[in-house]
Amino acid sequence: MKAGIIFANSGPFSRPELFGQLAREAEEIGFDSIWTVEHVVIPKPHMPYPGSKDGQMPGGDEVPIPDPLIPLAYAAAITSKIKLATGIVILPQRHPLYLAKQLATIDLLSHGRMLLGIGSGWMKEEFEAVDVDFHARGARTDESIQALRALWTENPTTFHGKHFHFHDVKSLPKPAQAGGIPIHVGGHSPAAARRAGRFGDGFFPTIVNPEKLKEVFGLMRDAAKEAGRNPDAIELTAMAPAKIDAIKAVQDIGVTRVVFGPPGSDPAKLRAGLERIANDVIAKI
Amino acid sequence: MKIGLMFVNSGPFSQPELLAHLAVTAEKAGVESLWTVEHVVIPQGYQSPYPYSKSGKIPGGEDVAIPDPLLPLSFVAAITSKVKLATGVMILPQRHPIYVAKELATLDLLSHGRTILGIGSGWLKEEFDALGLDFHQRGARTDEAMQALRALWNDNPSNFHGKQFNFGPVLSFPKPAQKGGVPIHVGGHSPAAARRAGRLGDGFFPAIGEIPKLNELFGLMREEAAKHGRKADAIELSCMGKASLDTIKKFQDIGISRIVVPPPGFDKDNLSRGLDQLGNDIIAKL
Repeated sequence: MKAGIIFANSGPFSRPELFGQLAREAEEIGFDSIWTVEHVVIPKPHMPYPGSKDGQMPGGDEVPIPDPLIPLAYAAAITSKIKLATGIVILPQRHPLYLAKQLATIDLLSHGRMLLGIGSGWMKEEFEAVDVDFHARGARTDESIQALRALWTENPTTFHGKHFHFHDVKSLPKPAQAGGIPIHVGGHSPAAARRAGRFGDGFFPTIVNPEKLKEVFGLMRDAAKEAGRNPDAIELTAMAPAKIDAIKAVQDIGVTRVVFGPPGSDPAKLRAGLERIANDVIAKI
Repeated sequence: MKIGLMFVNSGPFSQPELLAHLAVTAEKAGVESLWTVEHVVIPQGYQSPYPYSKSGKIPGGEDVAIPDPLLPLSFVAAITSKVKLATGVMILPQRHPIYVAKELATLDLLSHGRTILGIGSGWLKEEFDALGLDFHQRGARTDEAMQALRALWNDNPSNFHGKQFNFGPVLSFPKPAQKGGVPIHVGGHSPAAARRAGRLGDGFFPAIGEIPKLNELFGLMREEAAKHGRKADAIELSCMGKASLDTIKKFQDIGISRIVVPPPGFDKDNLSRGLDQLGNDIIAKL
């Protein structure tokens, strides 16, 4: 079982000392990946956050959420093995020409350690602030995945979609990973599950309930088969509490990576917290 | 006089080993700033003339590697502690200021306040076309984006209601480490760039080295600054040129405080030698 640390860029981890410490120590202790989160702005007011019962964002609306990519390039310079992942980038809010180049740059700087987790977004007001049609987010996400792959593997690149449209452009450098950067589809809606089956290199529903997970994995597998793809080749990541039983339960349904929030933000206790997850939980799976 | 290095992300510097070597060696030699360049894509067979060479074509050809301008600076932030991290230039009107604000604030925080945002309004029409943007709005978008960035960096909540960008109230956190936000230096050597620098710039960076032309542009910049009730002397002047003690004196005399030069080599040995020379023969004597 691989283990990752998510929320690696937000709140107190927006500071370089603590972020750098997290990246280094997670690598030393054997975590396979660190994952960054994204909201480019928080409009006031905004729709309720779907991940909490009261609709409030974790940490409140003023919590620092740095850009998800810039910290990964910083981590690339001070680590050598750990994967650098977004969990997730709100894909339809960005233009794939920019994202393709940004991710190729990190992949090159890190010798092929980039992993792109994507979501289609949920906060309508955030789309409005950056002038993107919220109701086109699904279609934009699908097109963007295909545009990214074209930009990473072809030179010159042409893409003619409804939302993105370019002809014979040169996007260089290409990523270090041959075939491009793996794209993991985040979210736990039926639409996310189907998208992962159709297009994903991985599927990353950020829920912990094994019954619910089984259900979305089923939807993903059906969509993969329908698209003529092998569902077993789609890597499964989940969030889980740092408990042996909970992780065994998701392992039984095919999950090969679990991600955890950082075990606190006290620099004096961070290493011990990471070691506890690695030694007392992951090592015993 | 400060000495900066240009083109630190492109061509062979897209490889992390050479980039790291350049950054660490340059900082040791006393280089004040590292500058990255940008084209998000190069459209094959483009016809718009490149404004910095007689041929009208981008140096290195259409297949030259031009990584993103910000991520290499973040990589460098992790392995340096003094050198400033600058874009020279980012094509501002092609990006949404809400993203640029967050990216620069993140980089500024990670580097403890070492960033400079050099911006240009772009010249490659085909690049705007590929992004689905109107090339002819680039001036207006640049002006608005500069103001939107400052609102995002300084206000809480932030509002901006322009013709090109319209948002607010929104919360953008974290803020940059530098109080007042990241300094914005206007690049380019057109009259429009000179006027924009006077109107809105914290700095002006025409990437040329001819004294008469620079004087003319600085005059335009000062006129425009005065027209808008701004102090022209507070606008920092940079240029591209040769870093010799003679030329440095001439640049200094017309008010320039930073010269940016290309890297003195494209492999480790030549870089080390060239930067050593730059440090000992020039920077140490300033």
